[in-house]
Amino acid sequence: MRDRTLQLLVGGTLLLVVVSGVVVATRRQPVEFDPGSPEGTVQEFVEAVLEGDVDRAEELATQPLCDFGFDPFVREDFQISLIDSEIRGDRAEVRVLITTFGGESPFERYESSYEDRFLLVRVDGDWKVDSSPWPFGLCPEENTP
Amino acid sequence: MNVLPILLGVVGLLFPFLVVGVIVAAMRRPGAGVDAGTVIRWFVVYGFTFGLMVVVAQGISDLLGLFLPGGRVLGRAGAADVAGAVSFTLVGTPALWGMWRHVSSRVRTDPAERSSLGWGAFLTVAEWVFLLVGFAALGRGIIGLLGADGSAAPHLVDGLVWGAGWGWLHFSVRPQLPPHPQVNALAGSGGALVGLVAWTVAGISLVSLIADLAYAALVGSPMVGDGFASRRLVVDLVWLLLGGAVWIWYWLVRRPEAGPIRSIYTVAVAVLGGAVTTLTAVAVTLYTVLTWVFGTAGTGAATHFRTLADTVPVALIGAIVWRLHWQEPLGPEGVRARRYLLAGIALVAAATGLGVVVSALLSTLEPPLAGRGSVEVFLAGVTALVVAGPVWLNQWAPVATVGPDDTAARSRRIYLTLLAGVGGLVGLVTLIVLVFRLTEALVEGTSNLIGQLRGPVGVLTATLAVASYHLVLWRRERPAEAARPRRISLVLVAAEPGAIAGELESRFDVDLVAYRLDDAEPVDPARVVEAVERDGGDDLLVVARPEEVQVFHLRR
Repeated sequence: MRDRTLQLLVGGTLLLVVVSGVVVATRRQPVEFDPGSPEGTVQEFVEAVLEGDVDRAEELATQPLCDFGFDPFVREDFQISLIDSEIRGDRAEVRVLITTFGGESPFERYESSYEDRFLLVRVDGDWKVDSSPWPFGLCPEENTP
Repeated sequence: MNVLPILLGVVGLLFPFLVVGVIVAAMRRPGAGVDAGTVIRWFVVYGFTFGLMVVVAQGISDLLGLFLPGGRVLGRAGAADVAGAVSFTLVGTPALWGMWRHVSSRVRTDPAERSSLGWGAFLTVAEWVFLLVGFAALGRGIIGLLGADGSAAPHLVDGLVWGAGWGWLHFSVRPQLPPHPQVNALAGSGGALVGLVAWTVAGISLVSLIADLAYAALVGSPMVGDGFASRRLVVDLVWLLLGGAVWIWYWLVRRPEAGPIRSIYTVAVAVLGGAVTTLTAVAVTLYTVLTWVFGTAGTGAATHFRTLADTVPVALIGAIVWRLHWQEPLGPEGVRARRYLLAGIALVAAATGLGVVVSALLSTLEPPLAGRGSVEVFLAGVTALVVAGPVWLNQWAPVATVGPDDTAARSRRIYLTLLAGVGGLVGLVTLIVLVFRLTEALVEGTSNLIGQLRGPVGVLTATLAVASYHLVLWRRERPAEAARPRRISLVLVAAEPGAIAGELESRFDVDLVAYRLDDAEPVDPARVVEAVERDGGDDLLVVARPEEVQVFHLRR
């Protein structure tokens, strides 16, 4: 391998991978929001759903979780980023970008993003999730299995 | 038995080979123009004969089914089934007999017809179809006989009838009325493919069954019942042995004739079948391990590593197929084509990984509210790079800088042009997407700019790296093209124009029309090449006879 261009290409790729690895490893923690804020409530709710802690998630919501609403999807890798949030009296809206990652093999990764929102209401001074986007389905009481 | 889906499957499976065969056959017979009337005659005569063969085989197998104890007809079937079997056999058999007398006498007495594309295609397709239907039915019959799945007798009857048809074509017709050698190679490669696919699928299923059982024993909760496991074992073993037998017969015993068809088949199976399958399975395995080690897995070890029971068998069997076909002897151009094909596929896979790594890097600029995306994205990218990168380097590094002989090679020019050209095109399209999203985001005022842009930026980085590197090489090696062989237009008249045509094509960029000279002795091709070289003209008529090689200048 005496070709300089080839050495540059391979060296550059290796460097990029190492730098990316360090950055990704050190900055992997999500930002912590104030638990009393609408964003903090959404964060805690989503983490509870991810961990399969239905009791905790339902404590943070105004209605029961439909099991089938999120169970098949939490195995897919995804990420939620905050776009913005707005408080109007006892109601709040948290707009997020949901990105799902998937693929049969590492050679054919895909990701898709969509914007959606969590709606929250204030109950006894605490914010509760009243409506949540796919795949964090809440469902009305009468439909609960 | 429903033959239609099987026939459709066969056509789908063999279509690429058929196309390659037609192209190669057409290219290798300079001057042998085929008029539309001949093609229509082939279509009618051979298509009709083939249709009758299918009708007769189906009729006889249905007819025999009438007499099976507990068989489909005596037991349950109505008048329509009996009538179908009788009419197919009664009408089809004499019609086929008459048609076959006509076809075989023509092929026997006319050497041009025997080496024609029509006869070759008919014999190849007929042998493939009878092999595949007979093979599938026989396998299912044996499985039924062993009590693993389904009923035995009807399938066994089908297998014997269609198998007998295959045996007649393979052992009697083909040796007595041999088609063009390259058509023979096409049929041989196709037969080997049928056996190999069955062997591979059964092998993967068998190893995966063992892995499943090991997994169940390890976890302590039987995932598969004993009855199910032993039935699957029988099914897999039957297909493994039958597929292996067909493959050994076609590939090792009968051995397809050496030539372009066998080379194309060997390279395609080694690279596309063996290497790609193995590398993909290895990548999934590595990714599963990495996500576990770096703690992003959300489940327990037993669930997380469950996928390995599927990927490890695929990697294992894929590697065997890869190695078996990689060892096959190939000419220098075949070795080159194989190297560039594998290098190209590995490079695209590695570049995908590079793009994903860049995307993961950018995603850290905006820490998420929740989710564990960026680490897994990064690990997927690294996996693709780690698995495909070394394969690309291994294939590419020895030829990264080469001499003029190699830079003028067609496969290398195609490789460089494709990577520089297609890479550039993908880069351009990605740039358009990038600017589109950027403009949209600026107009709409979204606050998640990085999320929108990091994907295209990753793809753009990878494609630019690949395209620019190959563009540099492409430009550097272009002067070598100036030393390309002389371009001439030539009408050749000789006793054996085929060999001379091959020699001329290897020395000149020649546009050739060849005619066969009757009642003449063959001429050493080197003499013709020497005469054309000495002459120096561009439009030539060459009449090659043992006593003299005459070169005339033509004017358009």
